[in-house]
Amino acid sequence: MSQSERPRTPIEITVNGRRHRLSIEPREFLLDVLRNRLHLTGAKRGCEMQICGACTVLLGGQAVSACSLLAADADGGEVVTIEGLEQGGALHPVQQAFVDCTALQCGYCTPGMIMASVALLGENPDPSEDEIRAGLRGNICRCTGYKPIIAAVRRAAGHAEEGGDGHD
Amino acid sequence: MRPFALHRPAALAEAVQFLTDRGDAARPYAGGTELMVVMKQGLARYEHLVDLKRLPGLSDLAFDEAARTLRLGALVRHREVELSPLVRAVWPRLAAAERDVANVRVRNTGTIGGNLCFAEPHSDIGTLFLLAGCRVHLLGPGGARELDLTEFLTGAYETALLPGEVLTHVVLGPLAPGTRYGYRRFRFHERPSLTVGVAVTTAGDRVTAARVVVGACEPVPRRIPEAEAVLSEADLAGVRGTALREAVSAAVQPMDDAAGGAEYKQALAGILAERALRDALEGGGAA
Repeated sequence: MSQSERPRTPIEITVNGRRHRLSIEPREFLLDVLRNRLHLTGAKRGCEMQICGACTVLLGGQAVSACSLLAADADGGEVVTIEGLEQGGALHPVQQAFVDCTALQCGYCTPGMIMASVALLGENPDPSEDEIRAGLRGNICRCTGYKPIIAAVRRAAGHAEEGGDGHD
Repeated sequence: MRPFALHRPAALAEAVQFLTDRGDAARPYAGGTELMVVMKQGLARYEHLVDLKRLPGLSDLAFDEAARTLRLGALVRHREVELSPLVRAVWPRLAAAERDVANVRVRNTGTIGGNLCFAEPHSDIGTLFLLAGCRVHLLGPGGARELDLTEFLTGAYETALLPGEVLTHVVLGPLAPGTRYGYRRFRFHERPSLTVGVAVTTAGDRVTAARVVVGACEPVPRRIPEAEAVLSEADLAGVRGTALREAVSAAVQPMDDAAGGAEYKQALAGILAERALRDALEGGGAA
C-alpha cells in the first residue's frame, strides 16, 4: 500500500493547552505523534510495552503509556507532557523537587517519572512513602535507586523538612 | 506496525455486523493494552481495528442487591474497579486485587472485557472472577448468549468467541454473605506467575461450600475439585491447611516458562493455597 493509499484518520488533540488538528495514520501511537510530529521529545521511547514508564504522559489527568496508546484514542482529549509542566517560566513544584533532591542521574526515566508523580499527587496530594512506592511502581529507574525520587515526591507534597536530598 | 484501518462504530449492532463481515481481518479493541503490544511485535496483524470505546451501554458497574451479583461492563477499566466505592463495599477483595494488576497506566487504559477476551494465561483477575463465579455475556450476529467463564476461556489466548461476537459484560457472584475470600499471587515480572484463590462459605462452625481456584500457571484458570473436597463439609476447627496444600500441589500442572519452572510453581501453588485459606478464615467478611 503506498503512502497515499494508506488509511488516514483526522484527530484533534490538545497538548499542553494547545489544540492540534492532525491527519494521522491509525497505526501511529501517541508517542509517535508527540515526538515526531509535535517535536515534544520529553516523553521517551523505552520498552515499548507499557512496563518501563519512560513514555508516561497524562491524558485527561491520568497517567498513560504513550508508546502503546493509539493517537486516535487520544482524539478529543487533553494531553500533558513534561514540556507542559512549567508555570510562567518556573519549574512545576514536582520538577523543582526532583532538582532539589537530585532525583535524577541520566535523566532518561525522569520525564515519565515526573509525569507519574504529578498524576499520583493529583489523586493523592499527601501520599505516604509506601503509597509513593506503590504509585510509582510502574516507572523504572536504573540510576538512582529510587530513594531520592521518593524524597522528591514527599517534598513536592509539602514535606520539605524530610530527608534532605534522599541520599543518606 | 503494519497499516490498518480504524473504525469507530456508534452502535453495538454496527460493530457486530462489521466484525462478522470482515472475519479474521478485523479485531475489536478497547484499551488495547495487550493487543497493541503484540501488534507492535508483529505477532498479530489486522487490516481493521474496531474501536468499541464509544459504544454505549458497556461501561456499567452495578450491584444487584437481591441476587448479590456484581455486573461489570466490558469497557470498565481496571482502575475503575480498583477505586470503585461500590466494589470496595460489596467485594473489597476484588478492588484490592485490581490494585496489583500491572501498573497504573495499564489499569487506567485496560478494560475488563479486553482482559478476558485476550485470555493471556498469565492474566491476573480471571482467577478471582472464577472464585466468585462468573457469567460472560456475549452479543453476536446470532444474538445474545452467555457462558460460564470456564466455558469462555478455552486455552492460552483462546476464547469461545464466535466470529462477529463481542463481550458485553460479566456478572460475578453471587457473593454470598457468609463467604470469605483469600487471594494470593506470586509475581516477579509484570504479570503473575501464579494466582490462587480460596473461597469458604460457612454456616456456624461448618464449611458449607468451598472453592479453590488456581490461575496464571496453566493455560486457563480453573477450579481444583480435589482441593475443594478437602475443605467441603469440614469443621472450621478441623480444616487442615496442609491437606489443602498437598491437594493443590498434586492437582496443578503448571507451564514451564519464563515466569518460573513447573516444579516450583507446583510447590508454590500449594503454599499459596494454604496462605489464601488462612487469609479467608482470619480476614472475615466477603473480603
